[in-house]
Amino acid sequence: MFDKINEKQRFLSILGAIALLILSFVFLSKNKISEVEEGVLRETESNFFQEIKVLKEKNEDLKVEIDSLGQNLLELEDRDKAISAIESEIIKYEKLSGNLSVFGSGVALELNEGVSTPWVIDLINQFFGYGAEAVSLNGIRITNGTSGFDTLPNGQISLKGSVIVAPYSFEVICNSSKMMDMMEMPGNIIDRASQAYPEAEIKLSTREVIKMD
Amino acid sequence: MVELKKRTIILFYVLVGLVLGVFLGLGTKDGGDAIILTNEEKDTRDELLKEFLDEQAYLQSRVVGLREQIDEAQKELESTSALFNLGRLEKLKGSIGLSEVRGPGLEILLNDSPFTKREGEMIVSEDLVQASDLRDIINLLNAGGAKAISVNNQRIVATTPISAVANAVLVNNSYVTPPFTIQAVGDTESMLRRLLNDSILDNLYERRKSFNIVFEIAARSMVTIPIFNGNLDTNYLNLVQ
Repeated sequence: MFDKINEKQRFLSILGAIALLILSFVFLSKNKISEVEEGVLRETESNFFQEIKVLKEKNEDLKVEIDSLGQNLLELEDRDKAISAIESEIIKYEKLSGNLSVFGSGVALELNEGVSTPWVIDLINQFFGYGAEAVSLNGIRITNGTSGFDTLPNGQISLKGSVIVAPYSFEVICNSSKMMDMMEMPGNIIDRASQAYPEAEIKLSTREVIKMD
Repeated sequence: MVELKKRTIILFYVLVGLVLGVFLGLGTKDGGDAIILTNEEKDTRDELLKEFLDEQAYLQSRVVGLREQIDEAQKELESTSALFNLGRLEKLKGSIGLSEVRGPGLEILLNDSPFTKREGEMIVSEDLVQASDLRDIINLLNAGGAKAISVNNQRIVATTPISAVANAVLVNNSYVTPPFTIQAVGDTESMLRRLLNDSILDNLYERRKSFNIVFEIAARSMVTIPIFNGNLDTNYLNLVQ
């Protein structure tokens, strides 16, 4: 049967089959990106060894915290040092509470296009996961008193009554070199957000001074 | 007759191209290459993980113990001298998650489908609870005015990261495994209104319906949220004078 088909026609049909193969592959791959956008694949494939590194660092941080708390306890037992120990503790907690303005070095992430609430949650989560000490979005610091985003009927994001509109500007006080290294790793949230929002421009840069009110 | 045969052959090639394209396209939707470990490698991995987790549990209990001792020492100082007015400190502790919180609230149970198992490297599966499910629920509870939240007794604060690791989830970089019990003290009605809105948690409600994910919400007259047991770093934070 094949002998009877002329060579040119056979070549053309193979070419057509290849073209279809490529087209259907491209179509399905695009479909995959839209699934990411819908939040089906918000989780990355877990990298066990990276997570072990996180656990190890967490344990090291806990040891430092234990030393610091132990020192605090010793000072409280000495009445002469107790007042300054309590004052130091108050200053530390003021920095964390968001009651007072703070500043420090860190990174900034600029996003020129609006993204959905889950992506904003995930970005902030990722910053804290990599050691951020304070994060703000469009000038609003995320604290225990301000966290919690609502999605408005038109898709806009609201944070405790303030509507957050694009462009989004995340500012993060942290160890900037560590944050840059972690955020720029392949497959990380910036990569996934770029996949979900191919039109969006995402810029990550270091900042010497960030102030948060 | 020959023309018909030619057309049949062309159609055959077209179909082959289409089928191969579909298979290749679908093949890339699984999220990449899964790592297949031998039993020995799995054991080594699990042992390594257990070592870190045991150490972490011990360190966290030390942190909580020391914070309680500090609390007691401060109260003792306050009771013996007017120099020590700890009202401001106590208020600050409350605002950053260093005080236990009790009150009416919600209890949410999230669990994987009873027909599945959490095994292997990949946990991105629709019949398993994802870290993103926990993040979304916690976000809604916060938006609904929760005063304090915990996941499997891990206090959630603004800086709490929730991420996936192997076949479990890290909350405050501490390992938690399903079933996940999320507790929240706060305005029950406001929190419930958001959680019961299936257009907000559309993905979770859809997976509950289609994949039997367990997602149950109950109002409780009394919920107790423990203090934060992690580290609080301020190495890069400075107060504006």
